[in-house]
Amino acid sequence: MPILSFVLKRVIQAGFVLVAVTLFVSFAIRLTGDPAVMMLRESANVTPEDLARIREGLGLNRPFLVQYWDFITGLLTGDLGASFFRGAIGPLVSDALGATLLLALTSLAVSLVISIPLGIYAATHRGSFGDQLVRVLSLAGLSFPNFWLGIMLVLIFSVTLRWLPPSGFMGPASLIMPAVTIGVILTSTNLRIVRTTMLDVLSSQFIMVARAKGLSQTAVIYKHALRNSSIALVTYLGLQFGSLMGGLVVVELVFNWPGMGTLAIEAIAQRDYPILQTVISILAVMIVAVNLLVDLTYMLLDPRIRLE
Amino acid sequence: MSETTAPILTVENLSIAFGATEAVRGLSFEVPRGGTLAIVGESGSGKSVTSMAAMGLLKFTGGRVTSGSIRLNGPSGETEITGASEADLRRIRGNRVSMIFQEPMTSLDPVFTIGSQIGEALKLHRGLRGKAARDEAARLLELVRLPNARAQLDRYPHQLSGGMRQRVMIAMAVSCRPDLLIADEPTTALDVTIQAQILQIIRDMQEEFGTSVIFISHDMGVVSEMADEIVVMRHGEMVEAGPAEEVILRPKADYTRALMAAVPKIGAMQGAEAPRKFDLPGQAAAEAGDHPAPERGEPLVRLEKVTTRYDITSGFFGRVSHRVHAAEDVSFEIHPGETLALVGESGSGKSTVGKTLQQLVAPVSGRILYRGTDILSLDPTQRQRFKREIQYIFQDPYGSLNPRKTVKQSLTEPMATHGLLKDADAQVAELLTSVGLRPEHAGRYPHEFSGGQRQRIAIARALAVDPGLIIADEAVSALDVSVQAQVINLMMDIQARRGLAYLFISHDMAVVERVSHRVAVMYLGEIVEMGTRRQIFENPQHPYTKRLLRAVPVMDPTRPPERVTLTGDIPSPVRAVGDPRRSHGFVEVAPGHLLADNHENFEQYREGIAS
Repeated sequence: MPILSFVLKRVIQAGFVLVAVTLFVSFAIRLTGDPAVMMLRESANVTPEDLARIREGLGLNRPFLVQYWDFITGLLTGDLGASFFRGAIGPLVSDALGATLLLALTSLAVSLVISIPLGIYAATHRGSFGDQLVRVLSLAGLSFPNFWLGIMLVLIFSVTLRWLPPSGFMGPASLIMPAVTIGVILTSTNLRIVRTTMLDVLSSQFIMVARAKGLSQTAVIYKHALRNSSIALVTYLGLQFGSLMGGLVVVELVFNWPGMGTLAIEAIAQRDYPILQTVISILAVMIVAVNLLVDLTYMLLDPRIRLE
Repeated sequence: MSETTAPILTVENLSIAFGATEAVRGLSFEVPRGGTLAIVGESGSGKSVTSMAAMGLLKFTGGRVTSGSIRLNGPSGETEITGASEADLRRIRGNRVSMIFQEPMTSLDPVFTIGSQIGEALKLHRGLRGKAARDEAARLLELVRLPNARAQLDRYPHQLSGGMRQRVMIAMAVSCRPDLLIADEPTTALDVTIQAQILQIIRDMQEEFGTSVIFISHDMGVVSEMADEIVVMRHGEMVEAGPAEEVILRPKADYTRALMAAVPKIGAMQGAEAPRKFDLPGQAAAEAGDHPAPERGEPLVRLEKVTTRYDITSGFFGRVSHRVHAAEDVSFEIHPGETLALVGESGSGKSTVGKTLQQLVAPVSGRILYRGTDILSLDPTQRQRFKREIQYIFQDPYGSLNPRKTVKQSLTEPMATHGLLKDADAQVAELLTSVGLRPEHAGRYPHEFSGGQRQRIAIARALAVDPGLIIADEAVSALDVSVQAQVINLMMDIQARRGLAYLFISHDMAVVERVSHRVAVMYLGEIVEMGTRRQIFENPQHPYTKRLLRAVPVMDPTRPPERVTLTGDIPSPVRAVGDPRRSHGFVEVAPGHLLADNHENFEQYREGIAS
């Protein structure tokens, strides 16, 4: 299939996904409670007129579809509008997105730098002590719930040793513990994926053919085997991105990291529809975009897909 | 011994083990300079393992040489392979000794172009880079007669057919003018007309470069065409060795004799009216007339102009742009107690016909009559009854039995489905006995059986519902020859006992000649010729039938191999939607002998499709 047609198809599919996600989020959040009631919860002598006034002020008395339309057009034109309680959404979201991406990309990079060489080592030394060790460690890493790991790290490195700041975002040192917490989970799964796909590729006939040509172990592993197993790895990374974003919310909460997760949780607590809608939509756009990117990378890596 | 007459490779007292299991024991042989040594044996004989050891590649398969030596005697002196360092071995591999593997579909790295994969060896051993490497690669591809060689350099393996890929493999293997070429079952996965081309190319390369060859095969016909010397192996040991003519025509060892008896030889049935079992040691001698053609009354199955196509979608909206014309206007009859063989190469549609008949795929048009009833016009519940009447045996005995079910469970399931289960234990015991297994096998799982035994279980499963017709789709192709002969004999016994009809789908002309009453030859979804076995094998009329028969290797070492000049692939049965349908009629050249009326301009017809 020609690349352009492929991309176009995927972009249109992505459009449908985004409409469905934003519609559902906007609708669902309105079922959870009335922000006007929330705002006046602490006040005495609240009259129905007070509530109506607030609803009118927030634009909540308009039909749902009109509110949704305003939100979508605002999102498309870059005008994210104002939140109910915290002023303009634009700067809020862009700060949070920056913090989240910093955390996500750091942990992803760390995990790849560790898992690719270790996974290759384990696959090429199958059954050796090193391979066993790698497998035990990765299983151990998978077994920790990430919030528990986060709390343990805080207890050890902040409370007891006082080496690292326990929470918030105060310079690079703050990044270490949250990145390690997420990185451990990512590394453990990636390690397994690299090891299995490498083992799979290494047992292929074309690897034996490459050896029979007289190629060195390095050329066989890093040219032929890695290139072939990267196809599976990239697919997996794309799938992983969604759960990475989900995992981030929990870890951000543990470390009070000022990212999209924290912003979303706060918005839910306050019934701040505009912020929540925006945050969820942006996350959805990112996940869809990453998977589109994965499909394109796939075409780059695998001629069987590119040329079909 | 002088440099020029010394054997190129000397293997002495070689033993190979995988863990605690010995795969090869005390093997010794010599490969004559410029000649071809064939290693013959069935699966598990240790022939491939030996070739890996000669390449110094054994350690990558998990095996090791436990004793003995492998000496390569090249122009630059003698090298001991078993003790050589990895660096020395890398200089030998692909350079002085190179190898062609069995599976052309998986031998090339799917993500690199053909040119870059050939270039790797040229750069490594001959220091060629850039344009020089590219020119040399193109020259090599021309040498192996790959059409449009230079353009192929930029293509990827998946864009090439199996035969083309095997040519690329050969080009790669001879790229550094090796002293020794090891060909491990190089044509086993290929169609017979393509096999003939590949064997010719290997002989040409041998002539061109003076290369010595180790040719590993289970196919005695192929070996007979290729070998100067033969080593017969069994269970890791050498059974017999000697000049090809001696071993084939006057085998000394009992095993070799049994092996030769089990090999179906094309032409062996000349003049015989009816199929005949193999004469196997320990079995009652087969008699002519054991399996006469049945009385031709009412046919059991009748196909009338059955057409089956598969859609191929493409483009933005996934429209159907092409169709695989897998079966076109296929008509034939099978009578009770008769074996009709459907022969053809890959893409000929023979399996599709079987699947359509078994109602696994729905035809686009046509009628299927079973004892006069049009199956396709029935409603689904009535149709179910006919599914019982027609049973299927698949090629792969390893994949077709559920590994988590005992034999008994596998056998009773179809009986329960069709409401035939009465006394499970007795029924299973009877079925197992009828296929030569023992009743106590019922509680075992498939992995406890050998390939041949599994195929017997698959036959028992087909028999479980007492069908009228069994479709045997390449049912013996994956088996070793001696096992293959036993399973064929069993199938013929069952036919004689039960009056069963077979649709025997096969690419192997020699087996077909042995088992069938009538033969239909398929090419690109169409039957091009059909007749009794003798009509097809002794008086073939269609150019394609003739070509197919000529391509079958004959086990006769005294006969010089016929020079194959044919190149090119089997055309694809994929056609664009709206492509005018090419159909042909039949002429009856003799009673019951039908011939496609396109036989005179078959070449143009063929090219018309290929273009």
